Amino acid sequence: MSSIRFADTGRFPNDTIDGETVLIDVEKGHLFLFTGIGPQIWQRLGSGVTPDNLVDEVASRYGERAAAPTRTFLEALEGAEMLRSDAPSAQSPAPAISWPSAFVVPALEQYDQIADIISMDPIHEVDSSKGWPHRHEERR
Amino acid sequence: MTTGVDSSFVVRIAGRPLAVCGGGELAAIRPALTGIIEQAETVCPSAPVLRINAAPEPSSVLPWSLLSTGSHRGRGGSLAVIRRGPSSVEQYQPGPDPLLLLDASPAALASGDLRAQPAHYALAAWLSSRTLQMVHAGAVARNGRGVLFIGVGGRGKTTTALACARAGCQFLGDDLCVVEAGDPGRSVPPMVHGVYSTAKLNADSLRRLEAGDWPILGVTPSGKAAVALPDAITFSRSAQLVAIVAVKAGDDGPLLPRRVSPRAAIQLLSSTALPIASGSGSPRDWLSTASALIREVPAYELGLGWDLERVTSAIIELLLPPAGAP
Repeated sequence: MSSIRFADTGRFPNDTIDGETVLIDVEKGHLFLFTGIGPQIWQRLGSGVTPDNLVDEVASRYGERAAAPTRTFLEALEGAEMLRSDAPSAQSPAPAISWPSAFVVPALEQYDQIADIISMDPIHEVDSSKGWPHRHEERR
Repeated sequence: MTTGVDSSFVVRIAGRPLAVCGGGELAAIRPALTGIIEQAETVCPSAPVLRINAAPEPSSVLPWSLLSTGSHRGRGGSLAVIRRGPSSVEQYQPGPDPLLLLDASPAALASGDLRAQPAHYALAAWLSSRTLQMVHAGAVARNGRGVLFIGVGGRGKTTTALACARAGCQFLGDDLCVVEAGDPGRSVPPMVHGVYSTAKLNADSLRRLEAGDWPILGVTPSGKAAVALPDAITFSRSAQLVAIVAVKAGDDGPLLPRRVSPRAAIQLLSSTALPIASGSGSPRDWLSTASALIREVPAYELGLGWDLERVTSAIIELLLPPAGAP
């Protein structure tokens, strides 16, 4: 994990409520929740960082015991397709990150109710630029 | 159904006016919109307009016959929802002069789903923004204070909303309502808005609510009766949203409403996201509205039983103004 990775804030818009970050996958409808220092890690990924450097950063702040859970969390983000190699096009200025004083294991929770509904009756994309509607090759 | 002389009326949803235009087929959808009609007869303006057309089999003619059944989204936010058996095509075309269209066969115009909630895909798309969403939820209000009932289908939203309405609350919806985030910085409270003055009842609820003599508008494919509200129930267009209640049908209730954490509340609100599943709204906008509501409005879970009197007492308790409020 040595290449720079960015939070895919275009596909995963988010909001923070009571210190926990809620995200929604605009393509598939999965709802995610970050707990622990997950919100701060997501914020840090907004401006791009290599996972190795981010793990080192967290370990230097909270101690070596924070390294393994942080790496596990980053792997979970990769698995959920939340990271990308280029910066999202519509980037807003990154706010200052407010790291908590004590380490709390970052975790990713996933909820599939909306995604399940979408997968039962998928939304089809059509190319309306040629006049509405013209059938577009449906995405598989 | 006959298409005839153009006629129209104006409705207002969440403060936004919309002209509804069509011919004789307007009679089929008018009962559902009775509560939000603002002007009975008017000249059909250019925009924004919801146009209703009767057609033999609208989804079987070009270009719609090329598209599969379901939701189709185009660039720029256009939406078409194709239904077959019975046949209908619903469209939303955004822009400075947004256009909402519903082409429906006579069978579709007679069906319970369309009679209870006409053009809800197009309306949801028209209304959708970062602070406003049509959601899959019921709602009632008392003295201008509203409660939103959430939960997946079959959990008791309709029965709870109608039981409260029979107990003196105003009805804003049993299945689809519009929620609007507030603006705490300007002391603007979150709101819930009603759209349809109808309900869809299964046989059990029909019996328990003693609703056998309510006007039946049609029957849904799942066998529910689409009913118009009886005179004894009052419809409300808008109320301040003061509580969100996730209802849960069961034999143990009713329990007291149990406050849930913001984290649990956002999960429970997933059940309201049907419009985004149909392409009528964007997930980004839904999340923005839902998050704002969670910050501003307390959420509860409530187990339900068939002692409807106790259920309504619990809800009315939530609608009381806080002690010391004017």
